[in-house]
Amino acid sequence: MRRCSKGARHDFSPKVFLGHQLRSSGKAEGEEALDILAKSPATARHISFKLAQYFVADEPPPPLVERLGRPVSGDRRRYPGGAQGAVHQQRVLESYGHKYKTPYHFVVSAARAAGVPVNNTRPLLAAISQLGMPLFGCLTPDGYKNTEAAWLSPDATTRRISFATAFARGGLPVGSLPRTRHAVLSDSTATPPDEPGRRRAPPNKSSARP
Amino acid sequence: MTGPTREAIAEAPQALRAALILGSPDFMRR
Repeated sequence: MRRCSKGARHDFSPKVFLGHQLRSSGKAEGEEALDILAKSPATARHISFKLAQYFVADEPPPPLVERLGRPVSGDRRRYPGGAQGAVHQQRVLESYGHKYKTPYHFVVSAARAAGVPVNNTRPLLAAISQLGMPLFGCLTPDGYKNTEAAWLSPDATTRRISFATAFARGGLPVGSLPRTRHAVLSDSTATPPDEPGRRRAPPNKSSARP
Repeated sequence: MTGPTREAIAEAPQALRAALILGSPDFMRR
């Protein structure tokens, strides 16, 4: 989380944050607020829900969410809701083949399934963008949705099939090295050294040795 | 996937077969 503190503009009046009285301490108030958020059961529930939704189902069973958000034997800083804890849930295994892939998952899994060496990720990034999920380009702070309702549509399916067709016939240059800025400039400006009928520019006099 | 569908995919050219697999509803789920 990025946070900004400008001392002169800070409001030093007493504040109440989620029912807690904050000490008027300037920049440290932000740290205290983050601590309150980290210790809040609502935060644990929210993260547990997100984990369960990612690994299990769009609407995960409430008992699973509750279990993932429960502190480990009295230690309020440890939750079983870590990725490792969720992965070992039987429900994760049962959900295999049910979660609809996001565009990111779909494109990356297609590249993995194809087994082709990927030296150039730009076509894949472009495909992810065309499918509606530009990498790190979500406009809202809550991030991309991880549900079927957000991604499954006739238009999206058509686009995915188009990508699959182009990718399968080798229409995406993922194996070639990406064109660098230097290469682009060279193509338009370079003169082949041994091309007949062309004269090379004389060397710069200021840099030439006497 | 039905038997005839699976056979049709098996007989298809390699690129088409790959496209059919990558574009199948099964592949769109994880």
